[in-house]
Amino acid sequence: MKKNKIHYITRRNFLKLAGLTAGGATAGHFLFSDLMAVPQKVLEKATRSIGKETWVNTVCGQCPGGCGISVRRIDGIPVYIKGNPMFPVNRGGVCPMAHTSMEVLFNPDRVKNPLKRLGTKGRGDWEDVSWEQALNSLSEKLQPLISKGEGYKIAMINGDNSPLMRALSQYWMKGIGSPNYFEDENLLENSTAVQLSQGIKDTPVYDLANSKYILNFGSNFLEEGLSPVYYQQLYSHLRTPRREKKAVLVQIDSQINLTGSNADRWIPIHPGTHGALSLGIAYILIVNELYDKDFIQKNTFGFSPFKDKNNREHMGFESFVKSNYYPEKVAEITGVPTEMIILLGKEFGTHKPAVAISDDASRYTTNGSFSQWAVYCLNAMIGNIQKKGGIYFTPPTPEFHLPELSLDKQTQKSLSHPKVGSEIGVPSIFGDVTIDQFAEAIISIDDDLIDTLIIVDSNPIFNSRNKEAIRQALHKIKNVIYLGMFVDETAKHCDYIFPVHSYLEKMDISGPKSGLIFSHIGLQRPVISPIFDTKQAGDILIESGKSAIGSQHFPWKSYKDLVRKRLESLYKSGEGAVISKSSDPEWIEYLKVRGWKVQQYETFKSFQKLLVKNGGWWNPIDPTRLKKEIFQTKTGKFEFYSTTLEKALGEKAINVEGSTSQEKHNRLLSSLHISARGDDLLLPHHEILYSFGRPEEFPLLLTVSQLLTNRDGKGASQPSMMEMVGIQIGKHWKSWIEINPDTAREYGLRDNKLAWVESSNGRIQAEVRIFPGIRPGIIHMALGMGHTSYGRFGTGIGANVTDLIENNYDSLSNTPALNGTRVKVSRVLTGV
Amino acid sequence: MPSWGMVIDLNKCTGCAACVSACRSENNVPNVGPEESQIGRALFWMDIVEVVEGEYPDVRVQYIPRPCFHCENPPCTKVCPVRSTYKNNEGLVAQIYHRCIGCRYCMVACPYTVKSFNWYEPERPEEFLQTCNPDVSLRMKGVVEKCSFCSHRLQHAREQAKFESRALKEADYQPACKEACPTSAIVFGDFENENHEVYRLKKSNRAFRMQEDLGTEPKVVYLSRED
Repeated sequence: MKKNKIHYITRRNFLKLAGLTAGGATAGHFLFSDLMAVPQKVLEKATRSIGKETWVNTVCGQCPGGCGISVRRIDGIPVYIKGNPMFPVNRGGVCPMAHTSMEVLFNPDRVKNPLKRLGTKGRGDWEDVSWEQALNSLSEKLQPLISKGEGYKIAMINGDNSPLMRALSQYWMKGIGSPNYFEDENLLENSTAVQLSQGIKDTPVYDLANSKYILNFGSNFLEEGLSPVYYQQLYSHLRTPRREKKAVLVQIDSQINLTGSNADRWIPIHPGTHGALSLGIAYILIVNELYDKDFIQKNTFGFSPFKDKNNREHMGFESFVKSNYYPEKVAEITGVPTEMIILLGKEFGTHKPAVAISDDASRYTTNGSFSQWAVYCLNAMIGNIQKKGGIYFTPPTPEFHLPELSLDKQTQKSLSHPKVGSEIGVPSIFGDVTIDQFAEAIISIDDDLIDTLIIVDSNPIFNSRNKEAIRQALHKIKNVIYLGMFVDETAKHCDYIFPVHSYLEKMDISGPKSGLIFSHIGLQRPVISPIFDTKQAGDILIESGKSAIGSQHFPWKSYKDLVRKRLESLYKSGEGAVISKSSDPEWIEYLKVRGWKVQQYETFKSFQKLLVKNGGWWNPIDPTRLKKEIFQTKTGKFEFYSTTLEKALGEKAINVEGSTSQEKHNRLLSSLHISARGDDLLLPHHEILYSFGRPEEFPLLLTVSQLLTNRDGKGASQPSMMEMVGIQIGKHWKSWIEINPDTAREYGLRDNKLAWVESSNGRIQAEVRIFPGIRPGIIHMALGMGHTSYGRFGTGIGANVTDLIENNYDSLSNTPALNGTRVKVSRVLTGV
Repeated sequence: MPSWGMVIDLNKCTGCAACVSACRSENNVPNVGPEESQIGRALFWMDIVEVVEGEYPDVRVQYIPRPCFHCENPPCTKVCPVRSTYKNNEGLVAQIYHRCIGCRYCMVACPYTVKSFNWYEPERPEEFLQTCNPDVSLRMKGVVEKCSFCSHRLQHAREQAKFESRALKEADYQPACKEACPTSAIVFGDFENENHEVYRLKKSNRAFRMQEDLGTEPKVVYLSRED
């Protein structure tokens, strides 16, 4: 067997080598180097073929956004990517990352064949194995466990955002009899606010294109979120000159990010106080009677005082806000001047239609759910739910069910085991068990809780704030199998690496299931046949499922076959249509007026052919849904007083230690760092940001965001993305910290010089950027830099800000609290 | 003869840098790596200029995309000792790499600093060579390069139109940056042709050119932000 050590060459060496090969390249030769082995078949095509140009439509897989793209191929080799003008999400536009997809496809550091660990875990020595050996080793692990009814000893962490792949992974885990299915933090939905008020787990869609006044509480929708290019399109529409008055975008954030720089007004706010400000605005709406009385009376619960079934009186939202969130007090909490709060309230109440949106800065904090809930309630106050320029919910796509699993008693018993990690730490009210709770459980309990762990396209060691626990857990679990493209930080600590296709080589269903005003399905298709000895993650699951669970449960030849089944379900539903050139807004308006006629396809084959050619399916009919569909609360109304939260807290408190129910309740709340009690708790309110660091020692607050050129760190494999990582501000191949001039002066920091940032978790070094567009007392950094293992381009570039962030979560939803860690800064002293 | 020009609506431009990325991919713009970019040697045909106005808390930030302006009266062509850079008969300021002797006079002369110098042979792993655009040559060490308004696309478009025996249409020739822009902030066409959108847009009351007083007559027109 050939032994293959993955080399971690230094960048200096790499540049030398690259210089050598590039020198040859300009002379018109492709030099062969041992280090960078190019598959011969591709190379020959590139040098000898006739240069025939073809265009293929597919869907970008660089982020969960799901933009339709057209790939230009020369002799079948992709060379350029542009947006697919027919695709409803992006209508021909794309973000910077789409263009560098070829740098992922042809990346010299991709894992080219299955690898098996040599020596101790984490050392980074590997030997090549065949797929047969690799898959056999997996089924050898699975079969004995399943036959003993110990399927629960198999766990999976899934980070693949394809809805079909997520469904298949869950199905696979159920078939094996394991409850231990975990999802990557990137797949979390922004739905807690809606859940609290409406009882449904859905992400609101903001109809920005038709709104006249947008109050944005920290959402960086042009750069982060579910689909930045979709929101770029809406923004463009907003800024197209029209006869009527221009729409106003107000950004409420502690720092000016890409969205802030495009806003009409920036309101600097203290981090983690967005909820308080929105309640201050609610106060202005109430005292000036600017709220929608009709909507509130008919459709909401808990606005005015009410009596419950025990005849106990409750004050209701109106009096609660009036007595607690008067502008002077809100100004003190948020740092936003009183006059500004009054102005925002009056503008929000009088501009119609208006909308209040929240995400990112107001979401990723310890009080995120309560903050977002308070913001969301502003929308109900002006009655803009399911109204033009307000809030909608994505209509569901036609249903698709995987076959019913007939599980034997043994498997059912195995499935009923509690999820590993559910006993660790604080029980989350609405959120699932987190990956680091899972890891903590593994290392703290002596038993062999988990025998085999499968990680699909997720890098928890890099993204988590509790890296050491995850590393230790991976070392403790006997078999860890990694399905991914690179030997990243997590893969390095695994036993096997199963290399998977890049998105340009595979067939899949893509696109976010919510967050857009229409339902749609994008189809990814191979634009080039796999260039290395890789497999699709779905195929690995189907193959191993067939051998370990039974081929009757996996009746598909391959994952492609499953994709075809999904398309068939679309065809059979008769809903929507294949995207086509006529899907421009005017045509849709016309159809809305004249009645929607579904395109007819003679056979499934013709439907499939057109869908593959054009790249997607969509259903643009009116997204308005029935009231009973969107208000699934106990009262059947929009709730200011959340009975959903009341019920959930009651259920969780049962398992907490304590003699009386009151004691249990209080203990639960204090462990969640929730200070409010009684009625205050069940109404939208402001909770104080929580951080381990003492203010005396760590006087500054850290906030973070993602960049469009790197997202959560996936862009780091692409040299072009690193070269233009901070293109807007002239920063390349590095991390930087943003700091207000006054704060910089206070700590003796100078522009473009290095500084230390330290928290109770650790410390990192980064370049200082003195910037007046940030509140004093705040340090801002971008996520996704500072890889320690991500190929030659990403490794060692910049610093990983998650090394600083405390491992806190939002108290209700288990969303990571990335903002609000206490830090201090100091100059880096160089030389004598 | 046409006068190819660009209009960038700063009302719509978000500064997302999709244009920069598309340009780099289309024109095989090389990466220089961390150390070289630290000393200002990164190459960008399309770059983004940051403008920060005011003091905390009244701060306005704006990002302005900046390609080569293809001036009607270009200062760079006048200083080139070997006529490596010149204005061609389509009105584009062209660059002949093989002729360039690397004196960098043009870089000094350009008031908009749109030109970059190749300090090294283009460095890219062999794998990435396959994904280079075959329509655009890789530049060698010691020459100056800059945005060409994707003139290779114009050649293609002219050939195609001739093949189909028809006149060149507006949509036939569009540069990569325009194609990628998710907000349609960039509009490209013939300033002389009244059927092209740029003809109308350049007459907008928001239209301005960079450093107009220099008399370079740039063919990139910006539409200022409405406040």
